[in-house]
This record gives sequence, structure tokens and C-alpha cells, in this order.
Amino acid sequence: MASPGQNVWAARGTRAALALLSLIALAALVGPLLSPWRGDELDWSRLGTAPAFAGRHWFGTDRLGRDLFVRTLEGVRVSLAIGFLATLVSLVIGVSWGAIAGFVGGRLELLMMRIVEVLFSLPYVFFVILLTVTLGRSPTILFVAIGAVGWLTMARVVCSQAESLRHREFIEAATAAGVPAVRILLRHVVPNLAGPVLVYATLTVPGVILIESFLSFLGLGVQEPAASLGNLMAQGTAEMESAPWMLLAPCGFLVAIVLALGQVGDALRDWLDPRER
Amino acid sequence: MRCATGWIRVNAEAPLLELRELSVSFPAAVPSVIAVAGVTLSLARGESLGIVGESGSGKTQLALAIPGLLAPAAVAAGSVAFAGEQLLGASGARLRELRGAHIGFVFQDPQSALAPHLTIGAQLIETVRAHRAVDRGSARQAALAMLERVQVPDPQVRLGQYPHQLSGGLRQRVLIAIALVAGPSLLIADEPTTALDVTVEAGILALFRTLKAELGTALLLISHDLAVVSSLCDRIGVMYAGRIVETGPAAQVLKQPAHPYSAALAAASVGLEQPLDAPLAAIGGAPPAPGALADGCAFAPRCPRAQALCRRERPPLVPTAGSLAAVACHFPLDAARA
Repeated sequence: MASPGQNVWAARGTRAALALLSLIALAALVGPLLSPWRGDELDWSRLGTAPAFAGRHWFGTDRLGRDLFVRTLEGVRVSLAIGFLATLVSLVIGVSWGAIAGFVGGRLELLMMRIVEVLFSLPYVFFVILLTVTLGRSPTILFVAIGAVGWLTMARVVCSQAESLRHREFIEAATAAGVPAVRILLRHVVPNLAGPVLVYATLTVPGVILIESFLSFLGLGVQEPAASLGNLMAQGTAEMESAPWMLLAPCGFLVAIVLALGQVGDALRDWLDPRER
Repeated sequence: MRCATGWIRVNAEAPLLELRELSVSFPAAVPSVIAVAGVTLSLARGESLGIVGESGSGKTQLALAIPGLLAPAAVAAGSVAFAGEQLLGASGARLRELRGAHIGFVFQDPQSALAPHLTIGAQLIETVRAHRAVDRGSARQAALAMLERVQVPDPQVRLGQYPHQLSGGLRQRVLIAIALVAGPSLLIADEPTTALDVTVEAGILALFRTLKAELGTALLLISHDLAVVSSLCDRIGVMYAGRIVETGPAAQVLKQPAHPYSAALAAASVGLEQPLDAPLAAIGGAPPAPGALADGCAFAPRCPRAQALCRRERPPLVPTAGSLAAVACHFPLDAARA
């Protein structure tokens, strides 16, 4: 943990986490190009083999002879993309919703935040199953489902922040100068939300990745032949005793991503918290 | 159209600001609070009026009630007429037009009344453009001119700076510039020098005096400091427990107070000429809780001259014979005595 007054970005753990994240992102982008195999290509001569340099299956192959190095990195790519995109979606909805509710206050705030609470009380797995059953399994539904759940906490965080900002004197001063309310919201309230929003977004990304993995593990998320960390782990669990590498590779990446993002989020929070400075 | 906000329903005969039986209460608070209990006063164009009172006398709520800036929990009753136009119950859009363009407001604490993440220039330009349909360039010119007018050195440089780069006195000057940049005819200043040290305070008071002479803006100055108010204002209103207890020309209220409370306030202010070992004058007791207003005179429990009548019956504000003053006291001090 960083001590007060110290630059948290200089902390060794944080730098290691950032380096690890960049490395994983880079691997997900260029890694599959380095392998001679494609993710949906079957190597009939090597079905379910352990990691080896022979045949250039660096992470081994699955039951169908597909190269796990390529599939795992493609899974990382999908998971990271879903993680960041769904967080962006929840950021946009959550910040608009929460900022309006908190800034306007009164009955509107009550109404808007009760809606959030009602949505919160829906079990999201049930919600997602309902969506996929009625609308079919597609990546779009996955985004909608995760986004629908993800913005709720963001809206709460933003609402309480916006409400405390509303009572700050510089907001009252802007009102007293006759600045229109919409402009006060956009120019005075939203910029001051950046700190907590940024921190919470960093902590949302691993959460979303976990949700996606969980849904794919249940067979509700990303569908074969596309790979995601979740469905790779689901397959890996089935072969856990005979082919442990099938489980270990996606699990290792998931753990590394979640831990590194968590570390970055903690560092951001410490850095932006005035009590820590 | 934005420039349509420039006009105002002018009524030449009406005073610029006229309050009638204005009261501000917080009925939802437990116990319920009456911050302002029926204040009647008027302010002519270009005139300056100072409201003096101790903490909790309701003077800030009075100031906030005029441009409709009260907290949502507060209920205002009575009448606030600005140039003949009723402001209590006016639409939010109309109040927004009036704020800044016709009624400027200076807050007490320059540390917290400026947005920390915006430059001085951005905040001034924002105020100009909220009221006038002008492009950024001419808004910037207006901002620059106003910064010069409030005697901020290097206004070009200051426009690009953030509030934390300015001293407290400069920030208060910037707040005054923001309040005046859209050309209001009334400036309300709520304890504008309380958060500043004495030398800076003197500078800000001198600035108010200059601005008043140059711009002809009417001034409603709220303060707890009788000396500050009397140095700047034509008239003074002394407020106690939500009511005006004495009003009159500044010199008269300061030198020959008729209400025992005004007299005690005047005696309690410390001058530089006072010897250091002289005991400080204080008013015994504490002001009544704003919910617990009894029938009699609110000052009676602390008043050395109080009699049975004072505890039974609240004295009305009556004009003093042969002067412009008015006092709410059954047994006013003899003017000649002081």
C-alpha cells in the first residue's frame, strides 16, 4: 500500500500490474498471428496433446485437435473486449442516470433511484436466461444483459456524488450567476465526478469479465466455435483429469487479468482519495 | 433567443427592490424554524443598504430569498418585488434570467464559491454567455474589462489561471467580477469580507465603494460587522431573531442607536484606537432559538432595559419622529443621550 504523499504509480505492485496488463493485451492482439495454427483449425494428428514444441502447440490441443494457444488468446481478446465495452456502456448509462438524479434531486431522484433498486433486485442470471431463451443467444444479447446489470451500481455511485456536489457552494454560485441548469450539470457536476467514476470503472472491468466467463461457462454466453475464457474453462473442466492444461491456460489468464485490474483500480482510488494525499 | 433575456418589465415609480412581510421558514425541521419573520424594506436604484445581525439572525436566508436561491426545504412567504416584478413564485426560467443579469450575488467564502476545475476566464465567460448572445471573443473581452474594473492585476494572465493559483483577496475580487459581469442593477453581497484578513478586507471594501460610484449598482450588503456596513452603506437595517429591529441612515444608527440591541452591537465592535487592556464589551446571553419565538420582544431576555410590557407584547417597527429612522422598541434609547 502506498503511504500518504507518495506517488502510488511508483509503487512496485501497480507498475507490475500495468506491465502485466499491457503484456496480456499485446499477446491477445498479436499472439495468434505468431502461431501457424488458426483457432478453428483441426490438427488430426494431435488430439488432446499436452503443451509441447512439437507441432507448435505451445499450450497443447483440445479433444478436437484445436490449438489452445490461439484459442486462449482469442478468448482473452473476447473477454477484454466485452469487459471494456460493457463497462463503457454502463459508464454512459450510469453516469447520465446518476448525475441527473443526484443533481436534480427531490422526487425525480427518488423515482430514478427506486427504478435502479427494482432492477437491482432482479437476479441477473435469471434475467439473462430469460433474455437468451426469448431472443436467442448472440453476443448482442450478452452485451445488453451485462450492460443492463452493470450500470446500476455506477448510477448509485454517481448519484450520491452528484448529490453532495449539488450542495457545494460553487454550484450554488453558478446558479446565482444565472448559468442554465443543463450547463451546470455538464460543466460543473460531471467533471467533478471523474475521480470516483474512473475508479469504479476500473473495478467494473474485471467484474464484467467474470460475469461473461460465468455466463459462457453455463453455456449462455459466447457460443462455439468462438472462444471466450468462460467457455474454454467450461471445456477444460470436463477434461480436468486427463488434460489439465485445457483448464489451466484460460484460468491463469483470467486470474492474471482480474488481479491486475483490481490492483490498478485500488491504486487509482488511493491516488484520487484526498485523505491519502 | 438569448438576448431576449436582456429586457425587464420596468416600472419607473417602483423602488428597485421592495420586500413586504417577507418570511422564510423551515416547516419540516424539528422543531420547525422561522429564520425570517416578516421583514419589510425597500431599496432605491443606486442605493446601498446594509443588514447587520449576529449569526442566526436570519440575514443570510433573507439574502438568499430575494433571487430565489433558498434551499428546497425552505418556504418563503410575503412579497419580494424587483423593479415592480413579483419574484416569489416566479418561474424557474424567469429567475434564471434575472440572476446574474439583474441581480448579482457574492458569496461569503471565496475558497469554495469558485469552481476548482475551471479557469477564472471560463467562469466569467460562462456567466456572460448565459445572458448575452455573444461569441467567445467578445465574452472574453467583457470578462477582461470586468477583471480590470475589480482591480485584478495582470487580468490577461489571470483569465487562464485556476482558482487555487489565486490568493483569497483576488478570488473575492473574481467573485465580485462574476457577479457584476452581466451588468446587474442590484448586487447582493453575503458577508463578502468575513473569510478574509483585515488588510485584504480593507481593499475589498474600497473596491465596493469605487464600484458603487462608477457603476451605480444598488448594493444589499449582509454583514455581522457594524463598522464594515456603516463604512459602505447609506442605510443600515439591524436584524435580530428574524426581524428588523432598527433601520435608519448609517451614521445615525452607528452613532445614536435607538434600539438597545443596536447600541450593544455598536459598543461590542472593537476599534483600533481602543486600549489593549480594556475589557471587551459583550452582550450577555444568547439569541433565541429560531423556532422558539415568544410573544414579546425577542431581545427582552438579554435587554438591560426590559420591563414587563416587553415580555408580553412585541413592539412594532415605528418611524422615529423627525428622522428617517424607525425602531421596534417600547423604550427606545433617547437619541440626545448618546
